Amino acid sequence: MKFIIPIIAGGIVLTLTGCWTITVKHQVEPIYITMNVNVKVEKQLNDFFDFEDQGQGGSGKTGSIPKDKTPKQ
Amino acid sequence: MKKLNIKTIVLYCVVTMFSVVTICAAQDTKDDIKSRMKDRFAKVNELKKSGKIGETPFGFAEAVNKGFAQDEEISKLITAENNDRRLLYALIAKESQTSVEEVGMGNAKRYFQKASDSDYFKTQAGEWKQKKNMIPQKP
Repeated sequence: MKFIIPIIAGGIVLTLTGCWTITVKHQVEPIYITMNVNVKVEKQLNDFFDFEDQGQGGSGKTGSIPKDKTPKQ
Repeated sequence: MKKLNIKTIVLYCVVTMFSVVTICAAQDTKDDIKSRMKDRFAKVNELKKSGKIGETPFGFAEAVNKGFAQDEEISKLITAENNDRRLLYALIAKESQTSVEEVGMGNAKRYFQKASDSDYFKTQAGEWKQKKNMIPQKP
């Protein structure tokens, strides 16, 4: 009888710890994977469309400065 | 039973050969796509600058109004451009282990960042707006 309360308390602690661990795993990993994929896709697109920056200057681009024309500080 | 086995084996061989040919053909299309898009780029750019075609949120080109869409030259150019984009997005999606839609939206974002203020973009609601009217103005 005197062991019942510690066993129940231990069970509750283990259950709560288990739930907490699962929640952390499911929140962190997808964010990391999505960011990794987005960066990879962005790089592939930029590499593929490199011809847009050569000579033509894109569609009158205003957003970025070509690497070789970056003003020196 | 023996006949069925031979049939199955022949079918398996045909399917395998078709897959190998498809994979081989797909491997060298990225350069082909790039070459075609490069040739088309000046014309597409010109039409964008003149406000006849714009970009959708899914990474495809589209005529800004019905009048331009009925123009045969513009229509052909848009179809060819979008066919190549579709192939490209599929290849990148396969390489990056993501969806075609994700790649398309990534390219739409890239086009928006590089566009001039007068370029047209289709909103999620299906409305055409110039870039300058889509960015919140600073006071």
